[in-house]
Amino acid sequence: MLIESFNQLAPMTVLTTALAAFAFFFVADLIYALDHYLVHHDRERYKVTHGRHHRRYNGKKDAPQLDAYELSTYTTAAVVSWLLMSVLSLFTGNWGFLLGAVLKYAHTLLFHLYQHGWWGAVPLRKQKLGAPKRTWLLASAKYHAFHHSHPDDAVFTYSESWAGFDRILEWAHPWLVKLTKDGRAHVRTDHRDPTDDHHDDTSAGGADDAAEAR
Amino acid sequence: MNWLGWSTRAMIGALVGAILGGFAYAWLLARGWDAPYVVGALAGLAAFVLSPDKSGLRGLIVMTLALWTGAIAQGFAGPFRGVGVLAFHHTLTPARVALYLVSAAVAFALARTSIRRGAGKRAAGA
Ligand SMILES: [Zn+2]
Repeated sequence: MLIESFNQLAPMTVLTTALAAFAFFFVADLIYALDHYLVHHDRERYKVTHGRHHRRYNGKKDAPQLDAYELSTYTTAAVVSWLLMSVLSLFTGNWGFLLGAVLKYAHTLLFHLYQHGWWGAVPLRKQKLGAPKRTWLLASAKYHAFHHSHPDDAVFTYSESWAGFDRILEWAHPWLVKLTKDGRAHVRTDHRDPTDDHHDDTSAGGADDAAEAR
Repeated sequence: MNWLGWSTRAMIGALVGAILGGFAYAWLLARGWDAPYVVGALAGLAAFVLSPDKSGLRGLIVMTLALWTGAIAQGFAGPFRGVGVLAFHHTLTPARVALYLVSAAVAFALARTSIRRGAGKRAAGA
């Protein structure tokens, strides 16, 4: 009888666990992609945090595959998600949420290391990876790597898992950009295009919060 | 490199506070008083007093610690005696979830800041 009920229960449990893990992955990547978009439209925040990441990808290979700054910011984002998902799992009894958070961290690190391995001795920009297509499918490492060498390309490649987030961001961009920090500042001060390029600064990285280094 | 706004003193304090709070919670449960927020209050208060600076992440860590400690502690005495954390969710009612949320809110609010006047704010990556 025990085995019988186990057989009835197991597929359901596996399914709900997998669904919860998938749900976390989806929501986490949506938040990361949106935050990534926002940091690119916040001149001040970009200058002291995320811009460091793009300079590192575009320059000569000058640091380990995963430098301390990247490891610290990725891990901070991961710890936040583990804490929150452990609570959600505890309160729902579905451990898929916590599993999803652990898998997302593994995915982030592997994704990052893969791209940096690719980087090799040749700067990313000189590798001429080719412009990514406007796909609604999964985001490959090559797809996301293009963002690092071409942060201001018309084809958005912020997403690390589902490229559809980028398509939705592209669709929303004309009005969404007006709500960003830069967009609001431009409305207040002058009529310059808030999407203009501001990624050539060379200031060093400083204070940061979770998910900045993406 | 600042790792996660870490402060060993504040974390050990919060852990001791959470354990004391857990004992107090189980003791109260055995007397019919369901007060998981005792755990959040003691853990948060310890972190608040011992933190050298402010850290949102520290608040989150102590909040999680308080919730987990409450879930473990309630299995030691009172109506939920013997119920482990894997079955914790079966003991929840909307009212009990609210009590645990109070615990979380108190722990987070206290642990994210510091008793020290003019304490600086910690951020990851800096
Ligand atoms: Zn970027």
